[in-house]
Amino acid sequence: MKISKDDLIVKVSNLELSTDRAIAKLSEQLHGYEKKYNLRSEVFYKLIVGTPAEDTPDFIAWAMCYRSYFRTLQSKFSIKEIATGAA
Amino acid sequence: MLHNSHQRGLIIDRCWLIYDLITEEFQPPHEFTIEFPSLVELALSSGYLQVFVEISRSGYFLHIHEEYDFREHTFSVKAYSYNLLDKGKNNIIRADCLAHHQVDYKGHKLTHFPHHVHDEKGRICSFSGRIEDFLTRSSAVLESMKG
Repeated sequence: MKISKDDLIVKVSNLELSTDRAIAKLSEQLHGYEKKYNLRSEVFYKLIVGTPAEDTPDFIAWAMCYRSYFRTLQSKFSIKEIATGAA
Repeated sequence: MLHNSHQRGLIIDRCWLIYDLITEEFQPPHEFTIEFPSLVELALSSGYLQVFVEISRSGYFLHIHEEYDFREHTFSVKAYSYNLLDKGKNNIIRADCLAHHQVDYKGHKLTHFPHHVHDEKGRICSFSGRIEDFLTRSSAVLESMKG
């Protein structure tokens, strides 16, 4: 049965996924791509992204996952820096 | 990501729109509704939503990826990949906003460059960039395959 928007908000609020778990999930996906294509993510991003070769479903998703992984990682350290600064 | 409550609200709005469109247009299994909040939570943490859902009993799937961005309080979908897949998880049609195509397969300028869709024959066609339009097109494709 379909849930309402209010129900979705309540359910999401109850989950409180930690930044660490988000990083772990994205990292797991990156490893999946790396294993499938036998290529490290940083090498893939440097060689493929921005070229016509990136126009495949897997590569588009891999690039998004890679950027999101780093943004999430960055935010984790930002939180730690804020906490350290506040202490 | 350090999303403030306003930004979190905008991401939830976007995720809700996608959930609403999929459940209105197709018949996903109940597991989709159960799993969807955890997908939203990951999107709130990372700015990246991924949805993989079976949309018909005949074994067709949608695989949706969206990457979100905020510039001066303005929400945008920075990148996306929308995919309609068959039973073998092969793409039937797909859409994205990579700027590698300027014209459609007939040589006409894309109406909403860089947005485009790869049709059932792999040809480049104009596309609005709106997920609503992709889902409508997917529905039409599935209908035509029934016939």
